[in-house]
Amino acid sequence: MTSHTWNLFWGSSFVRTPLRNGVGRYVQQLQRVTFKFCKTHGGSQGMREFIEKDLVDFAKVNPGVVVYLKPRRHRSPCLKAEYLNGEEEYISAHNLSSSDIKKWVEYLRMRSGNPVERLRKYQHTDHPSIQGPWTPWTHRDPEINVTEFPSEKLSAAHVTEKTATEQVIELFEKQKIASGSNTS
Amino acid sequence: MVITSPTLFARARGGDRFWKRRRILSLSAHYFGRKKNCYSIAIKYVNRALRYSTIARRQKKLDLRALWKARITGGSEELGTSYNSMKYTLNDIGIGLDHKILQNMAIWEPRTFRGLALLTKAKETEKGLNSLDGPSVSGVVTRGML
Repeated sequence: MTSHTWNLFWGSSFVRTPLRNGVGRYVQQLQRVTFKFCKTHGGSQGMREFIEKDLVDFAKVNPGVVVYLKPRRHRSPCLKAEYLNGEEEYISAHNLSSSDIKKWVEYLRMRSGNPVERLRKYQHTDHPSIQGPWTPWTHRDPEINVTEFPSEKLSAAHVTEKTATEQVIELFEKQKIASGSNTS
Repeated sequence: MVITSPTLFARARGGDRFWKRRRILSLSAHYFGRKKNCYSIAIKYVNRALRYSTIARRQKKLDLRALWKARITGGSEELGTSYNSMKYTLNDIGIGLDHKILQNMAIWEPRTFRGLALLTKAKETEKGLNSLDGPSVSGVVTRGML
């Protein structure tokens, strides 16, 4: 599949982070996480185990994250995460073991909430230039600022090739140098 | 221990007709009209698209190379040197900057690029190439001049 086709359906983006998160300070992007599970079915076994063993620790370590528990009869378990930018993410936890769920919760906790897309480049900068990008005046002599226009010198035709006279003079100079080096 | 993989692989070879068609139709999913849905029409266009993309993988590199060369030529000729002199001189001195970085500098870090262009000119005069013992470029002092 070409990148064009991919972009039509799934989009693409550049590396970005919300408000330079992690530079100087870190703001937890995960705001709420909901554990939906059934109290009786086997598909929720791992989820129930996670809730019994690890959930309190998780809540203690992450005071910025609101944790909800939502038991519902005879429905398969899932994780719902809500982020600071308003994005939501669901992860089906059906038949997952408690260690798997631990890893998925960790994944949700560390995400920024930005959509998962193909990255066009693996690096990004907001300031591509330190010296300032090239402009037509970058390498020009600042003399042009105080020139009176129209100016004879600047209006003259550009000389692209050497004239016959100049070529002859150059040959003469070369011969002079060659003969000078021979005699000395 | 029974190794089942080769048997299973042999049994699964060729694939189900439906999945084989899905594979092609997934590539034509963004086309318009019957070449999007109808396999026998879609396959022609998908084959053509894949042929193009095969060629394009090489063509992209050639195009970028030509673009970078044009940019470096533009940048260096403005500063009174040329693409070839910059390329060979910088290579001689041992400045390992490739086309991509050089063209990037010409656009985004123009003062650095000017420094490299002046260095090229100074080195060329030092070597005595293309000059009749011309004056040294002001602002650049190299080991040979001292």
